[in-house]
Amino acid sequence: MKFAFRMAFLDAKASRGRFAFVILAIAAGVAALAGVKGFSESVRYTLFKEARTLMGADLMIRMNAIPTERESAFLNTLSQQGIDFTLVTETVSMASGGAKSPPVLSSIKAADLAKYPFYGVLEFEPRSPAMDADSVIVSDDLLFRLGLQVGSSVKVGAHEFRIVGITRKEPDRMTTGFTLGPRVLMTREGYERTGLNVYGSRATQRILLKLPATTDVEVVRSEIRDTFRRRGRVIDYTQANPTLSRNMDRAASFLSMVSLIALIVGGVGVATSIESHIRQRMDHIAIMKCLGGRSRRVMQVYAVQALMLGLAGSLIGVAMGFIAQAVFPRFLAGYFDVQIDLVLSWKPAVQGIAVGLLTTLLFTLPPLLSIASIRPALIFRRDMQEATQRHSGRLVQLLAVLVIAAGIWFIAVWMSNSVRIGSYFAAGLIVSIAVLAGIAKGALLLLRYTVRRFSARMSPVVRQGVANLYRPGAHVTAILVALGVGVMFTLTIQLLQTSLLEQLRFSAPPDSPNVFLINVTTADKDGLWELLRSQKTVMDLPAASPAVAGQLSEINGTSVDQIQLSEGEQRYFRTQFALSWSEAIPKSTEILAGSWWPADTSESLVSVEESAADALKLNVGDELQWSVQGRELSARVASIRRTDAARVGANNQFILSPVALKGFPVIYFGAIRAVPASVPDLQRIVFEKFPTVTVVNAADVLDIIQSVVDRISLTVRFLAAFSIAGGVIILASAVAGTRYRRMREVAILKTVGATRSRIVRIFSIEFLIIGLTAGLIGAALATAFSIILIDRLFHSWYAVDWIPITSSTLFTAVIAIAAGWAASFRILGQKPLEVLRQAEN
Amino acid sequence: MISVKNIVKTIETPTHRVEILKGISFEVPASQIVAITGASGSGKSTLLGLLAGLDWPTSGAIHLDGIDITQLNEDELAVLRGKKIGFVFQAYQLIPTLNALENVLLPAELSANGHHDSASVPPFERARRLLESVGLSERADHYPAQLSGGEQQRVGIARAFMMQPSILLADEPTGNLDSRNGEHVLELMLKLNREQGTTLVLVTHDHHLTERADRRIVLRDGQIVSDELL
Repeated sequence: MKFAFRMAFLDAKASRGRFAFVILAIAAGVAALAGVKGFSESVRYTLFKEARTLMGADLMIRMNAIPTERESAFLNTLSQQGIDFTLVTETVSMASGGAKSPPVLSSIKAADLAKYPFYGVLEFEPRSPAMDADSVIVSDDLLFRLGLQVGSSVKVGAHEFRIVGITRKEPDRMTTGFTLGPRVLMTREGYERTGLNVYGSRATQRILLKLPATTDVEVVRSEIRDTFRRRGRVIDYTQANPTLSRNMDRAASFLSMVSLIALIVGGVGVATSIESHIRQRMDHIAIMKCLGGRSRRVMQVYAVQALMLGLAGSLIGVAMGFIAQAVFPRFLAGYFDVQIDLVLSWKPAVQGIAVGLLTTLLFTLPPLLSIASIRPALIFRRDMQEATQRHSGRLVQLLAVLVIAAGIWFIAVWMSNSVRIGSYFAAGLIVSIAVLAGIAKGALLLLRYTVRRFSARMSPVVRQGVANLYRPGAHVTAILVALGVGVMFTLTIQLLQTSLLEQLRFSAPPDSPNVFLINVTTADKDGLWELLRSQKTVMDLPAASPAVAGQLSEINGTSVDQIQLSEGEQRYFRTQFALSWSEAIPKSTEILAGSWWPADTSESLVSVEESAADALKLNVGDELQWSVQGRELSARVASIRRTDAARVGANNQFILSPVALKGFPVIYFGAIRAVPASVPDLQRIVFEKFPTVTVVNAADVLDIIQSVVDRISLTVRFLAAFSIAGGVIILASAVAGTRYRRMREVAILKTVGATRSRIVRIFSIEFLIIGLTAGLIGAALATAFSIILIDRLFHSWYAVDWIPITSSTLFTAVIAIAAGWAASFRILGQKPLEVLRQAEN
Repeated sequence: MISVKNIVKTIETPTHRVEILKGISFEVPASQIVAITGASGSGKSTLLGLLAGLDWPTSGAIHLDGIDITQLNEDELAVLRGKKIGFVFQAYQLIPTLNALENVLLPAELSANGHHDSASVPPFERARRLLESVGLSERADHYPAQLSGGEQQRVGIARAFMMQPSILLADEPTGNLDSRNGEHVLELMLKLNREQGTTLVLVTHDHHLTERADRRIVLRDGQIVSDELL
């Protein structure tokens, strides 16, 4: 092995220029991967370090209902043990700046600001605004949307508040989950005055607890669990915000896959560069074989060389990845209200290096194996090749390709921590590359045929430029694949980013509701419906749907505490369901099992939605029991149904017969259809008379989702750019690799009278064709993927958007020309005689 | 000893088929110096390549010291070359990234156990002595680009003798050298050959070289037209 290392090093020293590209190709991919993994580690570290701050407490009980008397009494006994607690209520409601402006859907938080938060600091502007029951502190987007400022009045629910400050930092914001709209912070007394605190409202209650240092956390947890049971979920800070951690893991997994594309493109670069290098070293390899070197021994030299390059590239990539980490917080600005500590963790670095080395080795395999077929007799007879040798070489190459595919699969599974995700991704990537390669080859053949067919009518500059594409060692197919993959992926993200939500808007049935009314009390219902009926812009006004908040307690006589379900399905036992009733079968509903009840039934029956029935393994005839406001409610399963999800009210998990919910307190919700442009006005009119009713404009929700999708898309495209960088490196490497041939060609062209400008045009045509072809193929495949996805998801036709397709194709052409010239501009200055003499020697 | 029986070598290209050797047979006893001559395209270099096991004949058999090399695979031939055959090329064929000493050492490093005769001189020392014997001990750390044509060929000769081969094959060893250097290189080659008792087969146009051989075989159009002792 000492010999292999020495030969590899000495040979590499003489090929520094070419190997710089190999190192860069690997570095680009490893940088993306190490950046993602490193940032994920940094976030995990920060979440752990700042766990108390992010939660605002040592322990938290999250529930969907106000604590009962028993539960409140228990909390008071805890406080006698020195455990402090405070209640934080979070809900959504309308906030309005005045009669003239439409109200805005906002996230409301009510807390005792003397205690909340126990950890972390809320930062306001001004620093310490005077808060009381009549004042609020808001996020600055509320001021912007309502045209208000500090000192203005804002009405939330039934009460008018004075804005005394702007929230600048709210560290526990991420614990709440997804917030809808601008944020409003008020005192608990202020919240009471809004009238939003009605039975059945969809408010989340968080009981924050601060424990003395000597308290046994497990004992307290156990007592809380015994008291609150399934009504409340206990989370302690050491779990490091499990939902957030889980989501970060998922995001990191996905982004790792995106980075893998850049790494695979880098691998293609390694393969082409090493192949060129071995071709240039064929004489050396033949000499070594003449002198007694077996193929394996010679392969060792170049394998070691490839690994040395892979290691250098991986180390540089890890360093670049650390720099890339610093970019990610910018994409997530506004989501984290704590500073992310960027840490240099060994795990992502080791992973990056391992994956970089493995990728290098995998993609070096085909050129390495070709060493076996280099005959020592080459020294005497380079131009004579025997056909028999090629056949066995092809089989070995095919085997090498299968090994590479298996390697890509292994890396994908490892990086995603999931066999399923890794397998899907690897299969998708391999198929994409294969399709790209096939199309690229076909395109080149077609181009060659076309030029030959019409060569007499074609400009000689164009003819020469095209001919250059077929120069030995040009690796044009590999360049097209590498650039094409990057363009395809980046453009697919961009096309889907805008079209997915457009499709969501357009694919909804024309009569589907676009305005949702929630938290409608019995007192408000009739008046509200009369108001809506009087509005000409309301096109469809179905009856209000009643709901009673209830939590599942038993199935067929067995307590749900004793029923085993997966983590995800456990939510059926923790959730306060909106139990609705209906005499008639809802519209767009299909009965899958059992039958609907007669309108005048006296039995307590329930119809279960399909997904709930699957999760809870329910059949017709099963008995269900819910806890509703301390009382128990039973019903027998009469049917299992499937409903068009766009129909609000009809897709409740549990719809009961009217008699089942008689005597229980009720809250109403509705789904109506109004002229879209009139919805803000409708919100204003409803708010004036019924300020505690929340009116949600579906368009606003889609806008919020769009902004999240935009941010995600930006992050993904940032990483996808690494794969385009990889493609550019491969192009530059291939151009540099054919440097001597180009120099000879330029020398000969100059000798026969070509001017510099003509030579510039010839090379430019070559690079332009590469860029345009890669851009077009990538754009075509991106469009194809978008068509397939939109069809699969929405059964709808995707309208091709020509602007991003054109701009990405042109952009690819520009960067191809720039990269090509950057790698070859010196060639123009060489003196012809000098070059031709060197060639003869 | 070299035994060649009815060797035919045909080359197929995408456009045509060329019969380079058309049934060559001869034997070379140990330690004989044989010069193979003929016009360009007569098949001399191809024959030499087949004797070295650098290629397989289309038909026929070649035995080197009793081993039928036409039945060996690529790796087995490489091992045989490492043990038994030294080769001197017309174009020197030194590895440009290795210095003179490293080029001489190369056959030893490529072989399985590092040197042919495990009991004798270590490879590094042998390489150094060989360089000294060709008059280049002062240039041991110079690279081929820093050596003249004659100096490079002397390195090539030293390399050819590194593994103490029983057979030395030389393809136009003085073809790229001027007459003075060519003479010098020839003397060196013959001197080392005498000292080691190697069988020497050389392909050459050079009459001076032919005159120094024990036997001359003339090829024309892939066939032996003359085989005489000198």
